[in-house]
Amino acid sequence: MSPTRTSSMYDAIRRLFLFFFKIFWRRKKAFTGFIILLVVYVIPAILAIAGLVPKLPPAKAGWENMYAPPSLNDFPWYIFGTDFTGRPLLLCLIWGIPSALAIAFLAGLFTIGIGLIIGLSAGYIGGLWDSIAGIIMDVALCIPSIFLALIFAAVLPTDLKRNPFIIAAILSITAWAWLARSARAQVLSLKKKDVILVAKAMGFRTWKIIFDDVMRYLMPFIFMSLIMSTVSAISGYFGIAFLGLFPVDVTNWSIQLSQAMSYLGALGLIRGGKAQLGFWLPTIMMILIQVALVNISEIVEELFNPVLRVRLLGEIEKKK
Amino acid sequence: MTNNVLLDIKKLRVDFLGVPTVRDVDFKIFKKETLGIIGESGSGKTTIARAIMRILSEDGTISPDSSAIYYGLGDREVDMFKLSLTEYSRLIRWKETSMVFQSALSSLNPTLRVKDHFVETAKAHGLSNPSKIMERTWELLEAVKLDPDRVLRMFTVELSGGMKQRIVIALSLLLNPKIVILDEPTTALDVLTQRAILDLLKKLHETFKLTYVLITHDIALIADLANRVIVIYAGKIIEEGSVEDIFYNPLHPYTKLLLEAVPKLGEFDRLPKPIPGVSIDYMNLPSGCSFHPRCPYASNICMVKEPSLINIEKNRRVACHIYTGLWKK
Amino acid sequence: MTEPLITVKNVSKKFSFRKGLRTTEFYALKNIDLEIPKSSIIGLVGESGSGKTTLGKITLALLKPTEGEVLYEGKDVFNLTRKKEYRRLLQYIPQDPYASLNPFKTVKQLLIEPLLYHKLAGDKREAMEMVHELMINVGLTPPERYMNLYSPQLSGGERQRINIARALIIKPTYVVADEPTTMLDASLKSGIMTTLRDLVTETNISLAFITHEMSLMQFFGPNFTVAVMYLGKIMEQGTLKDLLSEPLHPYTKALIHAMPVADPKYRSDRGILLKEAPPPSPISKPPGCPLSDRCPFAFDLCSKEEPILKNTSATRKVACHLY
Repeated sequence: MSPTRTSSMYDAIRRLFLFFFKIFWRRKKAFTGFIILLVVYVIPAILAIAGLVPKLPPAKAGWENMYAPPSLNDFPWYIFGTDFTGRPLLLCLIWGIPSALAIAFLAGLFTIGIGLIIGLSAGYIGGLWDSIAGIIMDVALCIPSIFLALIFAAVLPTDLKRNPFIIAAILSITAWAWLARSARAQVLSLKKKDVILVAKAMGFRTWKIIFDDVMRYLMPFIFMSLIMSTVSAISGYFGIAFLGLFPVDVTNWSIQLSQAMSYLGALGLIRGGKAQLGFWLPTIMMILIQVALVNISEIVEELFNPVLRVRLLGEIEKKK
Repeated sequence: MTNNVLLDIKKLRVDFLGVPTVRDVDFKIFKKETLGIIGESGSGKTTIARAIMRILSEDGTISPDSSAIYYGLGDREVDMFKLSLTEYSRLIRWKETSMVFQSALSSLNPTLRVKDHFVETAKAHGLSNPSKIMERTWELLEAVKLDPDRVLRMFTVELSGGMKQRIVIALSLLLNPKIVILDEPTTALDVLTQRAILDLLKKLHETFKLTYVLITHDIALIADLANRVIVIYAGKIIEEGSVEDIFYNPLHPYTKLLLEAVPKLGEFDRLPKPIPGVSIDYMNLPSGCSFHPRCPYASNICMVKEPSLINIEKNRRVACHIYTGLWKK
Repeated sequence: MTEPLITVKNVSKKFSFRKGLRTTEFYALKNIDLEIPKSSIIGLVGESGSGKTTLGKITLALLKPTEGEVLYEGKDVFNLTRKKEYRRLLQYIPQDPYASLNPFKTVKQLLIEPLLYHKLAGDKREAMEMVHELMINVGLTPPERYMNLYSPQLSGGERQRINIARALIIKPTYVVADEPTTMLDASLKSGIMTTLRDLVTETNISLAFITHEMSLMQFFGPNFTVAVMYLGKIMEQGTLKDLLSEPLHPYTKALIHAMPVADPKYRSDRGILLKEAPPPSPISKPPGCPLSDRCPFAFDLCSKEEPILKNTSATRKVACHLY
């Protein structure tokens, strides 16, 4: 590569970096969320998948091994003590991250995928398909998604239930309807505004109009929908797991939580003692990721408002 | 003389987020006249109206040096800018001054029926007797040539543009104000409807003995309604005079260009000429006279010193160096 | 005689909408015949509900008529074999500059996309040159200032210029400008009109100019055709000069009389030359001539039979029973 090309690539990366830095400087909450997501979830997940984290040791029977207090054995894996199977708690928590992230984001992607396909086509094509799609959307919005997911979870065979794609699909069964509605409304509003008319007059093909023109208006919706559906998939997943409808898996934080709760009983939580960490830590893991994601969604304005984006980029240019 | 003056505005200055827009505006409003304020969008004319009505957005602040002395309250004079907002609402708003907004800007609430609009507006301004409100509403709807039986029950979305504008006009007259500010009352209306509204406004002016302040960018409207005109540019008054003065003897180059930019029906030999240059940026105003970059007569002094508004004759003012004696070709 | 560029033959357009359980149908256009020659300018004047925008869209093949046909150089516009090529020859300039431009695209993207899509430029560099030149012609100078701006950063007048540039950059033969200045200040109108007129006369494009302000037509000159429309019908058609000096149809007379003139001399209680009646709407048209409930000259025949657009001279057509 010629020196100018490498330098322009370096330049572009540097600008991108500064751009995100600027955004996060303006939105400190989003920045916190981003750091949490990175440090507590993404990096450990990467380390785990890369094999830098030891696999879970086999369960150790015996009361003294259940919820053993923190120790410095085999640093750092026993700093939170053990879980109800005698395995190191920290390790169980870490190994729970990849599947949680995968299921959550897959659910998010399914949601926006289905939502966009149905919503955009309903708005653009109109007519009979719009009426049919409208009915489907309304039904999806009315059905309590948790119950539907519970039913599916209860009915599916066990091996399917371990498959993250299937789980993600169950969790997004009705979540797509909100985005579909917004997408449809956006297309209709653009039709009224002559934007689509002019694009048609220019001769652009339908696909191009939808993906190049209409989508740009939808980006904030898509982003928000991605985050929101990811968050609700997380709580849905752990909710169903808590009820015991997914196969027992020590890496599942909700299962850890339910075991800790049955160990502690009603008063154990107040009286203190063993399994406190086994209760609080999985809970924090489940909640913290949702909080982080929701806070990150604050930057939607900066990302997708072109005027704001240009202004920020302009400020970067000036500082050079 | 004071007997004739209804509102005397002095040193009006409005800043938006610290940026001065309307600057040093002073003018008088005389009883029963129709004062036209003409300027392009962004010139500050709407800001002046909103300042008088004290409905500026939160970003806008009226300078404490500004005053608006109102003489319409019988024996006492009141500075409208010095009143607190509550006092202003109680004494002045809608009772002494009211405003007719552009109907197309949906100042009407689509979830309310016409009747509710009148009732709510009346109640909001202190009139609470239901039979009195209805009586007045009927009177006004008939005055604006709408059938009260039919119209009161309707939702505003069911009304045509012309009908909406009549409702907005009727609403403005609810409490018998003395000054009515008309903000682009006929934009976005069809030609025939526009004519009907203009004729209606003229009739109401006579019947209710009103004083109009007409704010518009359309010079034909000014010719049709106003008897005195103020030309605003970049937040300042640049010319003032009777409507005949402005049309037949314009002094300021901007006024001249404005007249030449508008086509006159039937005149084919003269092609309208657009005004060159770009619109105003209050954060980067040109030095000296704000108009000089676009002015065909601009000379050296114009770039350096801002011309002040000077009196040519009674009620005839202009802010241009050609008339200050400092201008050289 | 050379084939006119656009021929509209007996076109009618019905719309239907639902209000509650009832479906109402109405004719936005009825039996329209119109010819637009090459390199000519035609004005379509009318108030809201006259059908002028619908007619404009139909001539561009962006809307299908319920009856009748539209021909481009003699060929049926809705059955063209080389659709993509013909599509770019018919362009539209929309009315609302605040709603018709995608706020997520830069000016450069907006203008260069159609060029590249229709392969009118050899490469990107050539395309940029064409964009640059057109921006100067359309009054957006210096072009560099605007290239990387997004439409929300521009004023109404600037946005309309982009709409004009966008329509013209792919070198159409016929453009419909739909009330392009209605949303702009009076002082900006003349700028846009002058630009439009200059561009159209230089490039020999045919232009259909839709408006409700007849005075704007004067920018184009006295000798071009104007069609006055009312509730879906062309009421009168002739040169602008003739229409202004000697209007024949009562509606044309009323329109001209109602316009405010930029001259205090002409101020008076002008009144409207039409009778008072509920506001006209295409949904509730009176039988026979659509103007029959408001026309001061109406007689029996007017509410029974619809008048046909007939020539009263070589350049003039009127649809009225008085003639």
